[in-house]
Amino acid sequence: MEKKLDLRGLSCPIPLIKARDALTEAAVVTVVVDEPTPRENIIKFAKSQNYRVDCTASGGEYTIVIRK
Amino acid sequence: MSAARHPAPGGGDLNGITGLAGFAAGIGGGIVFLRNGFNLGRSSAYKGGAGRFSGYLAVAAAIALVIGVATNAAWLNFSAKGPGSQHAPVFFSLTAGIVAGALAWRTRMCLSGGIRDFLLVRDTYLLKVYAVIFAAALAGNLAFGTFKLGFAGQPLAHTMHLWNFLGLFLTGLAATLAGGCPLRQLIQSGEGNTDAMFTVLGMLAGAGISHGLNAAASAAGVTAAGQIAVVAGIVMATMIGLAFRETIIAQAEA
Repeated sequence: MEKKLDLRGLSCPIPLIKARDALTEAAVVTVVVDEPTPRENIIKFAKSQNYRVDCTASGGEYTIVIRK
Repeated sequence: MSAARHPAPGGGDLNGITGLAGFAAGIGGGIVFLRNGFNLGRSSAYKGGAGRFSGYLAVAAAIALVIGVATNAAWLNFSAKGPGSQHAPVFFSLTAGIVAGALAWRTRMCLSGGIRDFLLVRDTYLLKVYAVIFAAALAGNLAFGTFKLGFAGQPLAHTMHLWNFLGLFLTGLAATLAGGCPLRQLIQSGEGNTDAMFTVLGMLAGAGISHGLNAAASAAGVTAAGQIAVVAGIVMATMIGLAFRETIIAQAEA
């Protein structure tokens, strides 16, 4: 199952909590954030769980794809 | 109010440990609200109009304050006695402030975030910055001979353990609900974040009101007004934590 989340504009650590919750339900989770701090936190968390992470940036927004 | 003082175990002040325990407990409380859907909603960038200049207001105010301090401006009231009057030469304060601010900006240091991220996902990155700050404070205090281990007779600190704990409990809870500690809010307001700027204005107003209502603590202890203020603050923060949940926001938007 895949999940897509729009986490733009949410304050810390809500993007991280939502990404983590989504990963308990889906194998592939795509999230969009617009700040470097949640981007770093989500990538770090995914790596700590040995998930595969891809991040692309465009226009101040970051799209992170996490695969379990 | 005791909440306004940062824990200072780097100087040997063991009251800082009581405070730090309260701070961590408050952050734990904030996480409970976050897990239950606490959310203040989305922020968005100003796309046009006069609003897009509002991000510069915090920086403009900081520059005005620097000029005011440097020129001994009449519109500023300088403390003639007490802790406010015991400051380093302004040049050194400013230089140290710029270095500390740049480091806090680059490391994205957040005192509540460090404990929060560890409790949430066992992330220790910000706790390592904590360790560096503690080591630097310890080295500084040892070098200048100001290290003094114990609870009693510490500069600015009182030994009312319950209020040290509760004051910093409130700080941790409020910082977690606000998305970052006072340091992080200050840095973000310098980045043009107007939400953070309003948080900083709130802290300034709160500090002013605390002193005006005799609620500010000193080495002599926490006043009755200060104790009432801390309890009222915890009640308020809890109500905010309960009131602003996603389900409620979703209904409001529908």
